[in-house]
Amino acid sequence: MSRLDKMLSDWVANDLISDEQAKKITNHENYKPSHSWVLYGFLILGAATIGIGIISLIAANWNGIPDALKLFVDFALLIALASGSYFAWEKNKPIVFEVLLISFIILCLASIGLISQIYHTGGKLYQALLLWSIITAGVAAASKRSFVPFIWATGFLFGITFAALDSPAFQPIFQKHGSPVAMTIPLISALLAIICRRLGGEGGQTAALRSWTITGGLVALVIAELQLWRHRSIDLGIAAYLPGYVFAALTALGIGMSIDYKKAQKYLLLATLGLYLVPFHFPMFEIQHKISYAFCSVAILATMAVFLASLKHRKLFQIFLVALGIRFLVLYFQALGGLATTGFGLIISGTIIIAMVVVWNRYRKEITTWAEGLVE
Amino acid sequence: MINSKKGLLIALATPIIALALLAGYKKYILSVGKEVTLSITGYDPRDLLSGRYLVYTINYGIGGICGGPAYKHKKPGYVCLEPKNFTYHKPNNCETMIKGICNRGGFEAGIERFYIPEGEARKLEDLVQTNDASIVLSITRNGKAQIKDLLINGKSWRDR
Repeated sequence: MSRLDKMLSDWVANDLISDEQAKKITNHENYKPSHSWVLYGFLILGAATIGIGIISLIAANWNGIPDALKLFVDFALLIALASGSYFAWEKNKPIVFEVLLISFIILCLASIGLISQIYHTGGKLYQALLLWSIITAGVAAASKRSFVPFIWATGFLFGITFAALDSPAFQPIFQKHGSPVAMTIPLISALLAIICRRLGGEGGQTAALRSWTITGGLVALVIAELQLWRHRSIDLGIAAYLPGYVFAALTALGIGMSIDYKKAQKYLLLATLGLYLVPFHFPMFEIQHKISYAFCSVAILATMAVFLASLKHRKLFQIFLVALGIRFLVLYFQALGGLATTGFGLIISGTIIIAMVVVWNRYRKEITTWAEGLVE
Repeated sequence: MINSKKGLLIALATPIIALALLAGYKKYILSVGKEVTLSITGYDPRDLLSGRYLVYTINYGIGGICGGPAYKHKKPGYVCLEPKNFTYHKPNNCETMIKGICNRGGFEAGIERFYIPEGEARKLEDLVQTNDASIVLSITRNGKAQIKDLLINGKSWRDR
């Protein structure tokens, strides 16, 4: 029995809708074209697999085929896929359009590999990813779904991360240290998400960049804290964080100018942004207390959870609550030491988690409504 | 975000044009550059995107490349082949120079890889290590170098 069927049975049993209405809803849901997402998912999987297969074939570097012929076939395929995408768009075939688009975007990456192979260029993978993301930014923007933009955003952010660490242009700024780079990348992603939202609305590219902002931000907080775990407190100076400040300022400006959020929601986001920057600067002030990092991450997760609740993003809100719970657990281990105390700690933590789950299960509606009400 | 025919056409044509320009530029360097042959020693790793390749050390026949004070970060450097010399600044009286980057005491000019067919990788690795191997380069006036061929005992690897 599907989730919809269960809900419909419940509504019929509670006299909210009639049997006839339930049947009409079932028929409508079963025959509407939205079921094509399953088809879309498998087609995308197939196209992505073919694309990776083409990369592998190119990587095999066939000795018997002249270089000119390899390039000719490659460009002929690129033109065929681009033309196919265009005609699919024109004839309003969204699934065919997206499948051809994903094949095209992957073949573009394979083509960079082929050119690199034929002319023996010594470039790094991040350089190929950056070039690819620059030339295919428009293709990602043309997609109406989320998979192509997500692939694009992943390539772009990985490319820019490794460029910041390895490129001679950025090395004097970031000094090959992960912490300022980790701080900066989610801010770039956040700014791009705001720009995409402003220019193109709630499209796939906005969603992809927003997902990477949240994921990257959480990873960055872990990296900031790992500085302390590795017992390394290196003061890199303000210059290493300067690009981060610029992107943070622009992101703050974007949040301030946003028409999507209420005033209180903007304050919450700005508070999260401000708190996010804090732990990366602890080495600068020689702050090495684990509790300071813990306080920051707990505060960031809490403000973000309240913000998400105010947007009625229940699933994301719950994910942040779980992260908050895990952070509390880690804090407990950080604060205590020794087998006996850890044993007691585990028992107490387990009890607290079970108690939290019980309380959450019983009062979740009230808690969520309260959090939503905070910013009403 | 792109909802017009014109926008979609531009978005789809941009990567094709950019890739064609990239391939054309590489071909141009090969056709206009000065040909130089340098000896090498090497081994065989793998690149996920472009396949197998030989990575080697190029013998420029010049001492003190990327020497001097140890630099913390990557820094541009110039190897002058005629007359033989190395400098961190663009040399004025150099007939043939290669522009690169000093990284951890090594000189990198983007010519330290030679892509080879999957089936030939092991044989070529052995040949490079047991014979006189060299690479043929095409070098432009502004110091951009590109690989033309790999030679084993003076013959192209394809003609062995």
